[in-house]
Amino acid sequence: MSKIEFQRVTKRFDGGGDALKDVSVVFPEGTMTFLTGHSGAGKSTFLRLLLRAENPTRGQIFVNDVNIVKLPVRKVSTYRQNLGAVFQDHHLLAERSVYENVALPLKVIGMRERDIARRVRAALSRVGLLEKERLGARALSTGEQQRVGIARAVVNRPRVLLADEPTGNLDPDLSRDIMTLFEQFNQVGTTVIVVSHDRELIDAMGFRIVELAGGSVIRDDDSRNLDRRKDGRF
Amino acid sequence: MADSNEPWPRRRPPIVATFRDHLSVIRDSVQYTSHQFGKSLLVWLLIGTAMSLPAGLYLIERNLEAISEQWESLNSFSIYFKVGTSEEDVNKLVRQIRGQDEVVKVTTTTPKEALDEFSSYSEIRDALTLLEINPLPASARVTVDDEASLERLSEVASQFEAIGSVDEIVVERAWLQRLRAVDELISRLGWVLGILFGMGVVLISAASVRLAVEMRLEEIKVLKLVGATNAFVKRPFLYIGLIHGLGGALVAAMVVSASLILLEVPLRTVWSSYGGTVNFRGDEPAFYFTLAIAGAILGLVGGLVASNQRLREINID
Repeated sequence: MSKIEFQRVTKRFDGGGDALKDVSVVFPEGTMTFLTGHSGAGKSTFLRLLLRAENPTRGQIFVNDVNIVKLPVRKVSTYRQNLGAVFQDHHLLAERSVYENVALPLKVIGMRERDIARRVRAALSRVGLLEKERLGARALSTGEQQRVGIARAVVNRPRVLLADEPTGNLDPDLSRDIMTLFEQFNQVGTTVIVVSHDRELIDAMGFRIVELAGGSVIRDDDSRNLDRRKDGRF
Repeated sequence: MADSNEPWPRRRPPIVATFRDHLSVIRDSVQYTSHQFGKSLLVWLLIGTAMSLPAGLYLIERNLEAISEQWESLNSFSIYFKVGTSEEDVNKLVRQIRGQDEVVKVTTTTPKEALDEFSSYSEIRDALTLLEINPLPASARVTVDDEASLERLSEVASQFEAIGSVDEIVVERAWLQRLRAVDELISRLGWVLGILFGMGVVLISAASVRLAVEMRLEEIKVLKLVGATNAFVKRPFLYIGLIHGLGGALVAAMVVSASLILLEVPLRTVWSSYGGTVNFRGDEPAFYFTLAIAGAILGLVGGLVASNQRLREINID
């Protein structure tokens, strides 16, 4: 269970404008949220800040009431071990097999090989790539690489799942399957934040939507989560 | 509940997992070096060359020490008579020398014995037979009490310098002192070169590991993003440095051994001509073990320097 809170966060890049401007938003624990907006709205910066791949220029980011902006560098690895992240450009190791790519987060935490195999195959089965576990990542299509990235993000059963355009290269059916997978994680308590500009998909899912424009939150529609809670779906 | 400084409790991998990861990384590092055999060989040769000079100097220093230890007991000096000195004059002086308290032994060599001995060592023995007169002088080797100091030895020897039939007096102890000075010089030179070449080995290892880091830059970034600790990320590079150091030490051991084999026979001949029998030091397992440990540590330090430096530069934190 993890609550995430941005408090007046600004991110300014050298020689550029503000990617995020004075953003304050709370993601209660165990919720699922879609972060949307046009290109350059600050969505990816938002996720990079949560990953501690960047630090904000101003403001604080709390995860489970701990300010991760001030997290010592030596503790960042432990923090990331509890996150699952799907990247827009996949970040796969091209020379490694599908299996090895998905196994990385588990190797990092020192899991036994037998348990790794079980978890990796389960994750690959969920994204429909079990039969391709021995193939090199380079041999896969973009959509398949995206699914490998998703399998790697969920294999560690993370407390927080961050996904940057996870369905960008997938067909509508597969997109819905992946969203269902995220929803299932959310149902067991994982806080999920999905960056997407697929309005049709976002609307169909019926979760909270936070919209960014020019680095600021211009819409925070939490009523949909409330509706889901009323429906007993949380 | 989370630690007050961390959002979630720390999950420490069990020791057995760390051990397993080390084994897996060793296997991967060996595979990496064998896949990059050409580059690895070059690194081994560079490191081996850098290590073989101080290692060789160390062996020379140890062997000179052994020689000086062996000659420590040679409390003696040699008297060379003028060419043409009669046997009677030689015997007269020898009797006089034997009368000294400290003198324990006097051995004389006649000009004929000297010529025979010289002929046995020299390749110009045929030319020597053509000489009408024997150009070599008679000599006497005087051994004094072991307790006598160098000063006393020199004092005893100097008593005979003024005698007309004496051409030259050579005190071996003085030569031994010079040998010890050379030994000390080589020892210090070995240390200086050891430090300089040691730094060289670290730099060679660091440069080669840096190359390995560059080749795996994407992998490092991904590992950091999925939560790998710095120790986990650095581990393969430390083992690559270690393998480079060990390989370099092996090359250095081969170079030093080959040099010993090449030099042993001529050096033995030289030493034996001075009446010494020298057992060469250097082929003991302890020497090679020390060389391997030194290579491993220097290679490891190189790996540590390169990976630390490069990881600091990677901007993902």
